[in-house]
Amino acid sequence: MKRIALPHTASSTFRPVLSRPEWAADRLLVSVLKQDTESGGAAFMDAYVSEGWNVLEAGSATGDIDSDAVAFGLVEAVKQVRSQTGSAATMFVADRGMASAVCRAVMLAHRDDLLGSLCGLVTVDAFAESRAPALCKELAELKNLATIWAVHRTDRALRERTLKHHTALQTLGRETHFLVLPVAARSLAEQLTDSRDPLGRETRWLLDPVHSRSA
Amino acid sequence: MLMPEQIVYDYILPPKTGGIAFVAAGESLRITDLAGLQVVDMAVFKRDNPRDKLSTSYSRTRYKPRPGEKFVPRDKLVPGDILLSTICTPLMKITADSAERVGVHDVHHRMCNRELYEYYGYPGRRGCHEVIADLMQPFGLLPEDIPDTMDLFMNYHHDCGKGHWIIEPGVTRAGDFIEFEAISDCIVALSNCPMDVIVPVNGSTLSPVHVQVWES
Repeated sequence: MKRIALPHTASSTFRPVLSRPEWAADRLLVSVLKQDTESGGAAFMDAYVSEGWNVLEAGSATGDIDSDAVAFGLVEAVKQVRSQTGSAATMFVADRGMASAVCRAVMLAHRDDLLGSLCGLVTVDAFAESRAPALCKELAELKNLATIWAVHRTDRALRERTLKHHTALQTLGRETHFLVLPVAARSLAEQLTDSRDPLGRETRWLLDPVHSRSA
Repeated sequence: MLMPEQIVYDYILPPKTGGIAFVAAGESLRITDLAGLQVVDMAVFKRDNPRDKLSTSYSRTRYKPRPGEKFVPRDKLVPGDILLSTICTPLMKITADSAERVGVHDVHHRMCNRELYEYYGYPGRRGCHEVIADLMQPFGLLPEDIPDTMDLFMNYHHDCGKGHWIIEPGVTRAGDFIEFEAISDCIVALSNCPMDVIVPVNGSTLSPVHVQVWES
């Protein structure tokens, strides 16, 4: 595995690092995890690299971030990665509190034609963020964007808001998954790493569903 | 009635694909046939030991009798019946079946698979067995570990006079559903049946189904 720190012009807490398999891979996973509160980041990166993903980690050292700066920084980093790899599929993972930045990055990357033919977005508690509803509505226009809307169990009102958006996407014929996380949920990185975890499982199948077509 | 704030999982399973629903004890699972006539093969596994898995035979024949009730091996499962495992662990209870003809779900027939398609002139096609085996591979199960499924909405019945089974298009209409309440924590593997050749088991067109899990 190769690890490359990418140059960037965003905030000092934003340090994009690309991990690549030894062999050529054209799938890109962009993860924005809250490193101060989350654990399991190294195992997460190892797992996805071993499954054939280029992993662009763009963690924030604190949750106190300028989401526009992160969004532009992400797109800048994706652009650099895309100049080195192919562009079969791109998946964005946004930790709690990071959805607005990542949703904006997805939209910007779409406008810059960086996403490839398949694109996925996984968010946790996105609708707890004030800017997220408008951004998510904008993202609903992207026909090739498959989404997972994960939400913590305890906030019923947030669950309802999230489900409402998911249902609206279903009406538009979009690929969308709604998932409530357990009360004592592990960190996002730990859930995504575990291929038996509901969110880890669903994420792996988001752009590569199990199907009956010939292998 | 299913309330939005109770839903913990919601997904529309497209034709020819598979998916997993994790259903905790006490939670309910609803599979809705969105367009009608679509079969969904369902395998159920105990979450903490996936080798403990659905037995359609025991589910039909090892139900607990009421006092004085005669032993009758049954040919279908209906609301109130319990899905049992291969060691008779209660997995889920059928709580609703909204179709006009209740109990039209195959509990005798094994899934379509690569060999079936190959024998009838469609080499290379994967069936529900391959899909469910792929779904369960991360849980340490091999293709040979996959049990016979409950084939939801499949119209499959025996013709005693002719001595063989009859496969006909289903009886579900758009929006018909079946519901289960989990007794154990379960992994439910679903294959939206890809059969669009050989027999008209899915009507004239394959269609999506809606998978929902909710807490009480």
